[in-house]
Amino acid sequence: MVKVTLKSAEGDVFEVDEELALESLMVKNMIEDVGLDSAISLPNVSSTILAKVIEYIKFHMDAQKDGSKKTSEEIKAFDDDFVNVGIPTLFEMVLASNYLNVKSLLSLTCNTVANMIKTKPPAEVKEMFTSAKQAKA
Amino acid sequence: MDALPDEVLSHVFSRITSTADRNSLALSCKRCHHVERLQRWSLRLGCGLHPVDEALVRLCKRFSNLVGVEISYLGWMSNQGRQLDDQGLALLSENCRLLTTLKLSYCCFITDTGLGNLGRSSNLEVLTLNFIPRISGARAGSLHACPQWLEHLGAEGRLENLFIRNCRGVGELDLAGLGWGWSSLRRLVFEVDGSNYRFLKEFGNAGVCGIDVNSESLQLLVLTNCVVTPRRGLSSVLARCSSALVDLELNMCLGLRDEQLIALAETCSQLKSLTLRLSSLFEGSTRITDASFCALATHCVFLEKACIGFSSGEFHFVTVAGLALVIQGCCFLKDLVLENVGCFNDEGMEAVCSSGSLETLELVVCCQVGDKGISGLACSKLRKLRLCRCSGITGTGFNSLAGRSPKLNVLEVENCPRVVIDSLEGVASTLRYKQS
Repeated sequence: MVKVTLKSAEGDVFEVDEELALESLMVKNMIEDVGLDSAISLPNVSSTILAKVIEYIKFHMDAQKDGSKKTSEEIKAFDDDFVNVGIPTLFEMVLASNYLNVKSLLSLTCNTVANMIKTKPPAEVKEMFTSAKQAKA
Repeated sequence: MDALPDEVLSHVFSRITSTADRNSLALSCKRCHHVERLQRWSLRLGCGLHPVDEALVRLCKRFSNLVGVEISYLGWMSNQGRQLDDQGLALLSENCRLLTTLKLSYCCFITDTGLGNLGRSSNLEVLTLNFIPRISGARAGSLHACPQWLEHLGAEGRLENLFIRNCRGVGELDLAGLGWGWSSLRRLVFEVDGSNYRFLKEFGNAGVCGIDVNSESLQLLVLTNCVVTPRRGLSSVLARCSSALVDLELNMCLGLRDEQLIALAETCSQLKSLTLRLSSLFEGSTRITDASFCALATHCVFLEKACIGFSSGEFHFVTVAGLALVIQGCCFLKDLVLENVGCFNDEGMEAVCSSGSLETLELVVCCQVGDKGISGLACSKLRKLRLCRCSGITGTGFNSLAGRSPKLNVLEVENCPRVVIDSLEGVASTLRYKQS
């Protein structure tokens, strides 16, 4: 199995299967452009978030494989648990999945944020966004 | 939220569809307001728009990407201020440059002039007019001239969907005004207003002459209360429909004849849904017999949904044999609704049982259907059965069905006077019963 080396913002190195890396359309384009020889540097994604993204892709790739015994309930439970994080982390995941262009994760994280906004009055929506900002600062 | 670029915020906001949520989002901060306003594609407005012109211009400026606007003055009273008029409509088309879908309901101030200007300057693809009493067909003083607004709409050639309901000034012949526009029309719903008006029309304009138009592109056609006598009224619309037609609904149309339906069945072989409501009040002018149903069964083999209704129970030339031909001949027929079909009896129910495709059957006031027909359903493929005001059925029919109809999921019995709820036990997994 061909391996791809990904380098996070902090300079940590993640070695993953090529098949997994190709799930990110951004990485796929990079590989097509520069080849597999050097590490692919991802300056916009922190190590924690990159690890989470890899965990997500890996789980879903395994779940889709033939012989996988995962039920749709188990997959949903994983997804729910996956996005059950603080707003700052959630926003970082939205950004990372947008930057890495992982459609399924972008859709999952955006849906989560959208669901948090739904039925909230304006003041609470504002509070939600500012809390993300403060945590970051 | 500063961390999220506009593009990503758009992704998130696009998943929020309820208007209340969107409004609250827009109020939360300036940036949300900005991203949200560019993403609003359609608006629904009502009596609260006041003063209407100013409000409309402001809304169009804020939501600069609007493609659909719906304005309804349902329940309007004169103390609620002026309604949208021709000038307001002009402002709308001036300020809402991307508008492709417009729906106007109960707008009493709009006239031909307003619609004419709109038609000339817009990219309208979908136009719905529901109860716009002041728009008319003919120009004043001329009998056969067509209204200019239809001419303008037709000349643009972009209009694909035209829905006109209850606009008392617009008659069958006026639709000729669309001219070339007909060839791009995909969906047409035309509902002539009022039942009293029909008598007038029968002897009036539409009853003596017809229009000749090109309706070959129509995929959906719904005509209500229209004159369709051969060579009169809208008969050519029916005659020139092509195999593009999938959905046809003829409600209480005057002067419909066998030869028209037979020709239509032969041409429109892709028809998937058919609704045919015949009025026996006009039985003299409307002549439909089993021959029509025979043609449908032979040619419209893809028919999935059929609804047949006779407004007052009997329609002398149609017998159960004709209906049975459709049930047995159309091998994809899944949905069948019969309303007021007095001739439909246990013999028809036998045809239902032998059909391999029928999943849903709805019988409304079909009083000839009896217990024998119901008990026969044990071997049918029906999943859903709805019976409404069928007085021929008693509990006995269902008793013999209990436990023997594994496929039947849903059973609805509404106001059938001789059926008591106890007799329905064990017939279907879901049961709805109503008696008033």
